[in-house]
Amino acid sequence: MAIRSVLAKIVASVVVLLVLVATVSNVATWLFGIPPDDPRNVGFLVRAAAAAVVVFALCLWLARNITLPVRRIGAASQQLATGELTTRVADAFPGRRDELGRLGREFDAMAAQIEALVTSQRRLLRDVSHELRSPLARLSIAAGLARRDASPSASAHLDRVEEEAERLNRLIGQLLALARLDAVVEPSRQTVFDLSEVIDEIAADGDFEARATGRAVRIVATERCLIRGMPELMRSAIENVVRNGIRHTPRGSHVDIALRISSQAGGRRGVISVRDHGNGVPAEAVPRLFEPFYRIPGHSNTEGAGLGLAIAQRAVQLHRGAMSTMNSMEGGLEITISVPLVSDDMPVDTDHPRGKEN
Amino acid sequence: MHRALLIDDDVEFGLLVRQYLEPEGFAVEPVYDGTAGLERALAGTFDVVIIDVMLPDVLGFDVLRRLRTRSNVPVLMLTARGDDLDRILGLEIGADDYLPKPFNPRELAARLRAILRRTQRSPESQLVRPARLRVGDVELDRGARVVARGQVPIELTTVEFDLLDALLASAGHVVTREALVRTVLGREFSPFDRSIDVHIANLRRKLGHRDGVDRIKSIRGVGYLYACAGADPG
Repeated sequence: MAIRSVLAKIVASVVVLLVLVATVSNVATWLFGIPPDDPRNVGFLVRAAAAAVVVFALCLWLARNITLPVRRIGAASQQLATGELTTRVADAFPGRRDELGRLGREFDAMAAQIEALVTSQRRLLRDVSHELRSPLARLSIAAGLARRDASPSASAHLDRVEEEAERLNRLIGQLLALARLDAVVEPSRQTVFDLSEVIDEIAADGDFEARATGRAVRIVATERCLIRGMPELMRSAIENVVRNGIRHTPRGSHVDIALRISSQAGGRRGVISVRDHGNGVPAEAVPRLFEPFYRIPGHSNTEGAGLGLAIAQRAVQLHRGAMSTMNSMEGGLEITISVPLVSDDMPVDTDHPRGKEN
Repeated sequence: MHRALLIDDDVEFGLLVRQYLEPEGFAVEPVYDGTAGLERALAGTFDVVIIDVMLPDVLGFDVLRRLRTRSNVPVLMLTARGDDLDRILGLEIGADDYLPKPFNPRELAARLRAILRRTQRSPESQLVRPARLRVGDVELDRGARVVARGQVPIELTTVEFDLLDALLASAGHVVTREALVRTVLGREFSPFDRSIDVHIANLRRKLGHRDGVDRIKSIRGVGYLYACAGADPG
């Protein structure tokens, strides 16, 4: 029999103990030669029962004393794993000097170390990107100046210089976007907005862009979905996903966007699915698509810097949402974004079409 | 020569920009911090002001905010690449346009020219159009470039003025976002660029509601419409 909770194990042990005590009372009769109907024997039973109750209470206390911190550390590990690097546990059981107290403090030391490492790595990335901006800005202008004086033969080379500078600019932009999402949440700019309006606008813009290359973007399902967050961030997240779809759907086909409400245990969520009609990706690439700079083996023609989906995922996570991807049964890749909706009883101000003014 | 003020702390960058823009017809005066920059901008002798969002002493946004309380001089913000919020914030505060830095200098020259085309329209083009537009209680005077709502003047930036002009001229009809980007911002429409929508939001806020309804209606996925229902004649 596998009992999965320490608490249950201890309770079970106590039950066994009680049974034993009952047995022992008979054993006592047998051991000390006291007849079963002797009044002293009743006294012994009462005392045994009282002892059993005390033992039970003690065990319960002991069990909770052990399981609470363990659960707390378990929950904290989970939080840490989802990126909440400031998670600590020692405050929950101050002054504990036993093994669990030590475990808690060691957990905190580990969390602090991880936080410091991740923070410094992010800061480095951000600082490097920032520092590269200034020389790149000067380089771009110098290239422009050089072009003015250039002979026709040098002009082709300058095209290349400008093209590469532009590529670097885009990369720096994406790195900074990613670093920024890691660093700040601006609650002051949070507002309640309708996801379906954002989807409408993205679909219209996406369709405009797609038509230039003989592709199309269409909305196959939509409904009103109020969410709380930053419309600009959510927009750029969905935009990145849709543009990714436009890049991978074959000429003459379309990218389908669907927005539906799904009711789950944790409340209602808005679920956006973006599906292209391309070849999908190899199964082993599916879980890795959101990794920065991940390139699908054998596909070299990626236009972006390989950060678009990573940026999108980070923005979705800031909205307490999740992003996943799979090869669609009918072909093509389907990327799904799900975000919690504003609950119905929450007071909302949605009169303003873009929800900007609050 | 158009006079341009550049507020950016990178000295070498400033000199390069000046060198590049001179043959393009711009006399650039570089200033290297926000406080001095604001002072120069308020002197009122510039056709256009270029402000980098990242300045050593004050935020570029603060310079713009303070400038806007006293002047409607056209402003081009140089924003950080990869920062959508900055870009939108700049336009909300009242920048006429933005350019993510680093940029191709051809693009800078093009944006500056588009901004100046708005403020310095040729006299011929003024002749063929009516000098005043009036829809409901809002009146726009093209010559003096002023807008009033029921005799009360409304302070608009140049881009907001031109946006209102375009909408009023087709009041009651939808004007597509593409058309607005081309005629008002003076550049090719590029999807996913929300600049025009931010300008519209600013304009809406300044115009206020009429009978509890926005004067400018969004037609989703298409563009905008200036509602003329209930407009009084004249």
